[in-house]
Order: sequence, then structure tokens, then C-alpha cells
Amino acid sequence: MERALDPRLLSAALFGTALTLGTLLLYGPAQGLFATGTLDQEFQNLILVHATLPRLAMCMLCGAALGISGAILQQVLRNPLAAPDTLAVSAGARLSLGLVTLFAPGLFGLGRDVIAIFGAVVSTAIVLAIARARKYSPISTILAGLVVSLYCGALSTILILAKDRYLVGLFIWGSGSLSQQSWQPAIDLAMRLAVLMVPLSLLMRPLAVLDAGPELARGVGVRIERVRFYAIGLAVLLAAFVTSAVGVIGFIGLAAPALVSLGKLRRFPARCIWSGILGALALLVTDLGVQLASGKAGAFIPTGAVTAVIGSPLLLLLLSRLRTRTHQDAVGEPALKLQPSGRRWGLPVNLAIGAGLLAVAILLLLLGRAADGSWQVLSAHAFSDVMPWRVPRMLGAAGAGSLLAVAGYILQRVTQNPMASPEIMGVTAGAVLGAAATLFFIGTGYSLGLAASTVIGSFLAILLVLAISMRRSAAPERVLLAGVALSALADALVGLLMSSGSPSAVLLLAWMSGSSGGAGLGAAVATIMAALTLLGVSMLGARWLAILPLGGTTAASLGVPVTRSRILLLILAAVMTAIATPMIGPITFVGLMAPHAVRLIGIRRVTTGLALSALVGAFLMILADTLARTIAFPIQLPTGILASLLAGPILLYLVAQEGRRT
Amino acid sequence: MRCCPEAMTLQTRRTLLKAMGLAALTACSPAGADTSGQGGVLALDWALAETMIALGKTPAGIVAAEDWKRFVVDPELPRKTADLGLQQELNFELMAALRPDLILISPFLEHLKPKLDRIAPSANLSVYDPGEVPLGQRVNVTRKLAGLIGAVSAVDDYLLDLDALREDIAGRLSRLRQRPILMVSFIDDRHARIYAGSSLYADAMAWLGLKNAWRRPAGYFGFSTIGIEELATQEDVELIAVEPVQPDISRALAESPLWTRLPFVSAGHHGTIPPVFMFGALPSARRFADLVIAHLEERWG
Repeated sequence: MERALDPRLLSAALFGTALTLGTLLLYGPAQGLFATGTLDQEFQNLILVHATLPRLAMCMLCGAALGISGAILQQVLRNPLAAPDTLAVSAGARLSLGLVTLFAPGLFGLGRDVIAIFGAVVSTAIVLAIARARKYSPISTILAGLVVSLYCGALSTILILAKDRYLVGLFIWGSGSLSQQSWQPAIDLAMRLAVLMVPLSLLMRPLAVLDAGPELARGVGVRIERVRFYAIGLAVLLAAFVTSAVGVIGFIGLAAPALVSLGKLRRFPARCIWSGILGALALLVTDLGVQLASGKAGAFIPTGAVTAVIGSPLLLLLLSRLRTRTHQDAVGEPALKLQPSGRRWGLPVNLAIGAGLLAVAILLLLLGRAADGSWQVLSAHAFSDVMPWRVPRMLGAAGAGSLLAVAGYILQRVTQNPMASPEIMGVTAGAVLGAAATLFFIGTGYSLGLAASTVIGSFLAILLVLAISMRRSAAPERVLLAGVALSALADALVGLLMSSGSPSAVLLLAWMSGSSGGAGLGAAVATIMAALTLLGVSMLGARWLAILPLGGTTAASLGVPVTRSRILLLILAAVMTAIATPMIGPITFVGLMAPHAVRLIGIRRVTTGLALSALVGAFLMILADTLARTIAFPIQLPTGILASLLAGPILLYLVAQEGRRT
Repeated sequence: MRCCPEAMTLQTRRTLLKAMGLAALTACSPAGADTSGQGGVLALDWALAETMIALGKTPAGIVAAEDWKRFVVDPELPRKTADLGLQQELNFELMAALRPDLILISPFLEHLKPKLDRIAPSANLSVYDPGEVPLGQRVNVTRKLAGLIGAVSAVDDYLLDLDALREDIAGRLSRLRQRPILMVSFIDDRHARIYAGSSLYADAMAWLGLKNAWRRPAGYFGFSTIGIEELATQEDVELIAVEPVQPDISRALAESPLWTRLPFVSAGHHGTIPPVFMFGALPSARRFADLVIAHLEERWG
């Protein structure tokens, strides 16, 4: 399995490819460079010198910076999947640039760099704060990074939806186009990177010592915390500069150091430098390919999205290498604290909670706004007009919310990871890919086709997840990481489609934002029925759910068929997610947050936990649905996105609470 | 927001009971059956809305009314027209409460038809199918729309007026020395959209007899996204950018050696016109024609 792949060989191969492609691209124009000439040649030279060549330089600078950034992050966090993308560095930079574009364009006077760095630092800090509670264990760190990325993405989406006509630029920028018209941006970036080389060279030695393990590093006088802090700061700066110059270039920062680490380079400085070289060459080759292809097709293809599309499958491949790299780290995955205080609620309490929530839900159902915008409790004569629209959307949202919450509860127990949730399982990403395929290849006029392709997409994702979880070596967390890769792929493809500027892209965006408005009563009732039925089914697995978190060995000794029970529970969670997604969109965080809330209350019994998760999930979605249709009236906001805005901060709070306890 | 639960408590018990009974009842009955409402036409596509207004009819509601002033500008939106929210996230409750007789949609909302049918019949009109002659499809749509909203008498006058405008502009253009035109809008400091094919700008240019300098294919909607370096041509063209052009874009262009040395840039053959709705119908074409001829007379006169 473990084959040594020398980065030097790989680089040579990439260099050869770059040379070939470069010759193809440049041969014609370069011939004219020294010919004294006609107007035509002079003109060709102008393009060559001021557009094509700076673009190639930009590629290499960005690729190198991202490669080095990834190498530093992977070294510091002892995590082969750490990278600017997976730690939400780029997502934060992108969101803050989007916010500034819309609300405070005057701030661009400070320079795009400052804004990008601010966003990158904030999002990375949040990720690391969450990861800290889990002792920076690789999988928890990546999951935290993904959650924050998704959150930033949700915020960007709502901005684009509400102000879409302005943000085409944000899309292009978000998917990383390398198009250049002068040397200035490349020179600016080069100077910034050159300055960063000074702290990098100072950090090289202490970073290299980390290879020997924390105890030894401390022994030779390395102050690990301080080195960590500076190194992460440096990596964030490198990525933020690139992001502010050309946008989000996906996966180079992950792939380059990961490929280097497959080789036999023992020393960190060598790994770091080769990551830079490999990153530069990989981005160069990709971009040359993009330039040649788009020249032929006449289509606009942002390079950053292409690297992400290529990179996500790579992430899947790298998963199989994950264990071999992590076992050397002393940092084990701290087991999920499942029984904090252990509270037992009897049936009366449960019924009271249920009745209370139902009453509030009915009040929310009646609350609305009149055509002139004034708040009102629905007047009787408007019933026949308004209720046929309001009842189904609320029922549908509630049903979907409880489905996701129960799915999240199951996933968190099966994987023993508190950051597990349906969103990160890849099932919703599959649904998005299905919907995107229909909208772009078949057309927009077929709502039935859209629904069908969504279900097909989800189930393909389920199959993939199952295929991975069937493999004997697969730990449950790996299933989540496969989901991460799928989500990244969906994200990249959607970005690629969006930057085409076609209105079907806007439709896809609307679909992704999760609109329960306009839901039919039939679909809503079906969702509720599915929620109740599958909640019942999950109760049948209560014993498994109670025992599995104790660990595979213990569970097996207690007579639980570990592999089979895990697979069955995963299928159940995936089916629940697939049913919920068309109703409220792929990202809500309800499935992540509801189980946390239940755990924080201190519910011990699995059956109570399942039921209460469903209630919390349903109620959160009802609240989101009410807010979505009223706060910006007459504008209706997408319920799914509003739910994620609601659940995100609560989630962060809960995770912080939990972190404090451990 | 806080005041509402209080207001609610007063009526709660009565409305609650009604709610539970009626919600079940009304959910099953078709909402559009009651025709005692205000009636009127909802135009869920701006191109159709502006056409209605130009024909002297007031849409009962349109989408994203708040943005109309920035992107369509002229014709002005009648004050009585309701805002139905975002096009991607329609306010169905409000639409149902308005009890329209007809809903106008574009092919991009066709997938909503089953839902809209619960409110009122809908008509699907597309300005984007390629026409036989310049603006032909947009004229067809205007005629069809006039038939649907009872404005047949207005449509002939409107089209005659439009012909007169074209003849006037053709006369004014013949006195100018013409160049092919690159019609763009800038996306950011490195990218632009270029218009050709069935886009409103290109269609209106063809109608006026202006030559489009962009000859590459441009997709169903008649525009493509390009890096600004792809605008490079040595032809003597006139570049017209539709506003808004963000200040950092003009600054970046002024500093780009490639841009400044392009023949048409160094000759000063570039400028901007005020915003025109890029997915528009005849009223936008008209506005475009007026703005472009004024711009060109200033530049080429």
C-alpha cells in the first residue's frame, strides 16, 4: 500500500507537462516577440507580455504560497488533511470580501488584503477554538473547519440571493479566476510573499523539531504553543494574500503537501519547499490546461473551481492514507462525552414539553404580516387565501427539521463525533449535484425531473458513503470525511456553473438555499409522516445507539453486531437526510445543533434523546420558517439558510460550553 | 417584533379555534375559486412588467420592486404595484391575498406553474427565443402580452411610435462616421460581460443598424463572461460600458498597460451609458436606443 512517491519525480513530471502545454499556448505568440514588426505582431506581443505571462507568474506564486501554507498547517496541527480550504481560511476571506462589497465598499480603501485577512483570521480562529476543545484531533479539526466553511457559504448565499445582480463578481472571485491584465497584481503578491519568507525561515527549525514529538521539542527548548501560534498565523496570511489577489483556489493547499508527504522526505524544510514547488507546478499545469480548453470552447472557466473539482476526489483517495499518518501522533480522539449528568424525564414531562411547543407553533402559524407590511394575527377573512400556503410550509419545515435532527443524533452516536451531522455526510451534497445536473443539462421546466434527480443524487451519495463504510478498515469518522469531499465537490461544481452567469444558476442557488415557501400540502404531510415513521424505526435501534458509543470492542462483547448495526444506522440517517433535503435545502445545521442541545440538557436515555431531538429540530425549523416569511416582508427569505443562521451561533455556544467541561 | 405576541393574546383564543378548524378546511379547497378579490395581473418577470407599464397598464405586483429603480429606471414603477419579494423566493401568501386574474411568467419560472395554478392561470412568455428580425421576438411578446391584458389598442400605437424612433435614430446615425461597437458591463477589475446574440443590447443594436464588434458565440442569453484582456482587438471599435462601473475598476484599467495601449483605448473610443435592464423587452430597447444615440452623437459627432 505504502509506495514511496518522490516529490522530485512528481515535480519533474508536472514540469514536463507544464512545458508541453506552455509551448502549445505560447509558441504562436512568442514567435512574434522578436520579429520587428507589423502592427499585428506588436499587438500580439502586448497580450503576451501583459496578459499571458503575468497570468503564468500569478499561477506559480499562488500555487507556491498555498502549498507552503498547507505544509505549515499540516505540520503544526499534525493533521494530513489540514489546509487553507479545510480550515475555512479561504471561506472566511471570501465572506468578508462579499460583505464589504455589499455593505461598505468604502472599506476597500484599506486594501482588499486587509479585509481578506480579517475574514480569514476570524474564521480560522473560530475553527481552532472549536478544535481546541477536542485537542486538535485531526478529524474534529477538519469537521469544525467544514462547519465554519458551510456557515460562511450560507451567509454568502443569502447575500447573493438578496442582492444577486451585484454579486456576479463575487462568484467569479469565489471560484478563482486567474485572468490578468498587468504585472502589477503579480508584483504586489510577490512582494508580500517575499516579506513572509523572513518569518518562515525563522520558523523552519522549530517546526522541524515538532517532527520529533512534543516532549522532545519541549526538551530542546522549543516553546510549542508560541511556535504553533506564529506558524498558523503565517499560514493564514499566505492563504489570505492569495485569496485577496485572485480568489479562492481550491485544494492546491491540501494536495501539494499531501502528495509530498507520500514521499520519503524526512525533514520539514524539504517537505515545505517541495510543497511550494509542487503547488506552483500543479496550479500552473491546471491553468495552462484551462487556458487551452477555454480558448477552444469559448467558455469562461475559473481555474480555482477546476482545481477543486480535481482535488475533491483526491481528498477521497487520501483518506485511505489517513490512518498511517495519524497513528504516530500521540493525540487520540477523546471519546464523546455521552453521559454528562444523566437526567431522566418521565412521560409527563415529555408530554408537557410537546404540548408547550405545539401551542407556540400554532401561535407562530397565526402570526404574519399584511400586504402593507403591518404585523397581524391572521384575520378570519384572509384564511382561505393565506393558510393553504402557510400551513404546508410550516408542516414541511417541521417534518424536515425533525428528520435532520434525528439523523444527526444517530450520526453523532454512531461516529462518536459531536461534529457529525447530515450536512457533512455528503448526502445533501449528492442532492445538490443531482439538482445541478438537471437544471443545467435538461432544463429548468421540469419540476418532477428536479425532484427525481435530487433523490437519485442523494442515493448515489448514500451508496458511496456505504461503499466506504463497508470497507473493513473504515472507521465511522472516515464516512464523514468522504462526505466532506463530496460537499467540496458539489461546492466547486456549483461555483463553476454559477460563474457562467446563466439564470438557471440563480435557480440552483434558490434551490440550495432551501425554500419551503410554496410547498404543497401533500408533500408537507408526507414529510411529517416520514418523520414520524422513521423516528419510530430509529427507536428500534435504541439499544444499538446506546451501546455503540462505548466503542467497538465493548459493543461486540455486549452482543451488538458492530459493523451491521453501524451500516443499518447509517442507511437510516442517509434516508432521513434525503427526504428532508428537498424541503429545506442542503444546509441548516439543525441536524448538528439539535442533538447537542439534547445532550446539554443531560438526556441519557436514547429513546428520550431521539424524541427530544426530533422536537427540537422541528421547533427550530418552525421558528426559522416564521422568521423567514416575516422579518424582511414582503421579501421571503429561504427557510434553510435562516435556520442555519439561527442554529450556527447556538451551535458554537454549545460546543464552547462542552469544551469548557472537558 | 416584540409587540406582536401581546397583540396576539387578545385574540388568541378565538382565532386559535378558527385556525384549527379552517386551516383543515381551506387547505383542501382551491384558493383561486373566489373571484371577489381585486383582480389584476402579477408580472413575475421584469421584461413583462415593463412592457405592461409601457402599454398603459399597472401590474398588481412584481418581483423585487425595490431594485427596479436601480436596474430598469425607466419606465417608472406605478406606486400601486405591490412587491412580491425575490424572484427565487416568491411571496405566495401575498400573491394569493392579491387574488390576481392572471400571472405572467418567463420560461425560468415555468417550474412554478403547478404552484401558481393554485392562485390564478399563468401565461409563459419568453423574450429570448431568437426572432426572425431584430427585436422581432420582443415585438411578438409585446403583442401577445397586449392580447392577454386587454391592451390591444395601445400596442399598435406603441409599435408605430417605436418605428418612428428608429427612423429618427437611423437618420441621426447616418450623419455620423460609424465604428463597430463592443457592448460590455464590467464585473470586477479583471472581468467583464460582453453582449451579443439575443441579448437586449445586441438585439437593439442590430435593430438600430449598429455593428457589433463581438463575433464569438455568446450563449442563450446573449452574453458571455470574459477576462478583460479578451477585449483586446486592433480594430477601431467603440467600447460602451453600461453603468454601474465601480471606481476600483476604472482605476485598475487606467493602470493596466495592456488596456491603455489598446488602439481603441488610446484613441479614446470608450465611454459609459446609464443603466439599462439587460434582460429587458421593448421599453428597455427604447431606453437603450435613446441613451446610445445620445452617447454616440456626443462621441462621434
